[in-house]
Amino acid sequence: MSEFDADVIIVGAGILGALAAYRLAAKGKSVMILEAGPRVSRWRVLEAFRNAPVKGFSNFYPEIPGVPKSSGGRYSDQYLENVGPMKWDPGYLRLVGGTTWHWSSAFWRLLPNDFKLKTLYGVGRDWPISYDELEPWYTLAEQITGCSGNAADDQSGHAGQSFPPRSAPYPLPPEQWSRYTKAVATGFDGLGYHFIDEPHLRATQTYGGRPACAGNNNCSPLCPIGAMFSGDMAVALAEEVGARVLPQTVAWKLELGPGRRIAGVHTMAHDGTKARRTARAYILAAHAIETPKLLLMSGVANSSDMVGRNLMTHPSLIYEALARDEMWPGRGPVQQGSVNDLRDGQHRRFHSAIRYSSNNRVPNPMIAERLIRQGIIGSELDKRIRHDSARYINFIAGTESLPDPTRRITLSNRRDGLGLPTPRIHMDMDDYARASGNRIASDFSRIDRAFAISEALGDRTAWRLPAHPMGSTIMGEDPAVSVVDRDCRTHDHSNLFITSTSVFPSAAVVNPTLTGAALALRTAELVSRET
Amino acid sequence: MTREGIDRRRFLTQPALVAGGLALCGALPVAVSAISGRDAGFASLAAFLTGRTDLEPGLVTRAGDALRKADPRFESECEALLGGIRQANITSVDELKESALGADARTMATATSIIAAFYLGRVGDGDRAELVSYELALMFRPTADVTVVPTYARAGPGYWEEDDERR
Repeated sequence: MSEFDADVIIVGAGILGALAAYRLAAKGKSVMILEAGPRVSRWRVLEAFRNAPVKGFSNFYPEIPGVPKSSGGRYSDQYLENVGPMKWDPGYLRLVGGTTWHWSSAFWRLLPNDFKLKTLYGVGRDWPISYDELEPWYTLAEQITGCSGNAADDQSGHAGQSFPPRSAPYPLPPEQWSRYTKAVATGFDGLGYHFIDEPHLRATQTYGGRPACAGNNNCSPLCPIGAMFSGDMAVALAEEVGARVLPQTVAWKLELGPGRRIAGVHTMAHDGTKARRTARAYILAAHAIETPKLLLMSGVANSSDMVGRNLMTHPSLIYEALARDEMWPGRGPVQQGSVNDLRDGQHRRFHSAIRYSSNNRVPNPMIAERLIRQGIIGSELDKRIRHDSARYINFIAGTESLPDPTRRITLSNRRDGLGLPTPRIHMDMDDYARASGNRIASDFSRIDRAFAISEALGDRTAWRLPAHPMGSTIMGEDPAVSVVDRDCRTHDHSNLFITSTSVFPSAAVVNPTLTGAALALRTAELVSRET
Repeated sequence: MTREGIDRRRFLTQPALVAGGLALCGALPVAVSAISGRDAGFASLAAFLTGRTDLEPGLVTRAGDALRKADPRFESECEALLGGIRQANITSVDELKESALGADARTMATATSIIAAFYLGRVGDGDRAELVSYELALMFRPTADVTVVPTYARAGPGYWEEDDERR
């Protein structure tokens, strides 16, 4: 009988923790995943979604007094304390499978230049690793999950050869573009841009037991048929090779032992029952708010004073309008395609990169509510719902944050249902991202003309902060200003690792999950050799 | 039609409105005949305001219950609206909009709340919101030949590549 409960304990059964567990267990390691939240069944969540009177992002997922989500319920809405200039809900769930229960599965690699912002453009920080070192892990992550994409695309947006370099093709063929996507592509192409495919984890043919996408148009916040890969599927993969998941187990304190190694993790069940678990190595994978929160509660891994700091996301502006002609959004998945032309280049010396991401959602709920508020009823209401819904255009302009130590998560004085401190968030956006606003506004106007819009909707100047938290346990070579090293090992504790988007030293303008997955697999490989 | 456990409070207690032959849209909707007299008035109003003769009885009951729960004055305001329509001899919701009655804010607020319940599929907002229906929400009907009610598929994988699958 071992002196430890497992070779490796992982905190957090989301997609990244589960992928790390999968790699470790497949290598014969005993793995225990501690998950704060419960297991859920897809059909139950679907039923809750359909029965929710207001279809929010998170509100139909389980609401548990002791384990709040970041928002979406009577406990969860009191959970985060926002004290900064911009209020932010980082949009995460706490349950087996984690936050990717509700995502659109965009699965982008970073570009080689994204790893070298400081060297190339004089802003932000460099990663201590390169694209080339991460590339094999990108490929593996795409294969495990079943990624669909167009390998011929120049994803740097310069309409050149296939880029970034790949050691293998995408395992699944690209998705068919809907009429709407093709129309949006034509509009952007007419402006001199190059609308390309967005790689994602919707099965375009059956893969790994998943059915092909049938266009239920609800990827986020829930795929009803499980065609889109989500964290619960990564957990299933890990469990199939022997990883053990302990749900409803809140890790609240890491215990320091001899040699500044972690000696154990203290847990609480939902009824407050305490336990202590031990392993040779510990991996934190509780996403970018709960991971630094655990470190701060424990008082470990923070000789740099960087734990919780450098919070980043992708500040965004939203374009909404009614085109002159029918476009018909709402056929197929909720999101298809991307304009990457401004993703990299010398402009990053002066303002952030920009990426335009097309939204293909069924717009009827918003359109109908808008018309009814205007007092439109009767046959006119039906006509206008059809007319406006057919012409609705919606896309997002995303930018990149730079790491700034004043943007951070700390511990608030509030307590959750288990008596643990809740996160206090101080968030803002920097001038680097704001300075992209002029270019975005100009492009919005050009799109207005390209589609001969009859009406602009919404507020296209209001910056939004999406649910892509990064940077809060930042990676770097220098222990004085970073929390983890190039292998995602904490500088302070040789057996404590972090596999989360919280390690990113740069945000770039693409969704972070694939890079997080690649890092998780790579770190798991390293940990498997040490334990 | 009985439902156990549901408090079937008296609703519109003027059977004369129904029996007296007030046909709000030409004829009483077929489905309405399945609803007991107490709720037939609201059912007629729902059919009139949405222009639909095929509203499911269960849906009408849910909407009525939710509207009454959200506003204690709803019942009397419904009576006033029905009375006003009869008095002015208005025979369709489009005609209502153009009429003098349609310029009365309070009347139209009641009408709008009923329309919203069926179109948006809910009554109220935020924490107090109650679901009437999602799949049958009328806001999805005008585009039902082209797009989906999210989470309800209309065809197989990749169907969206073609403009429509009616061909």
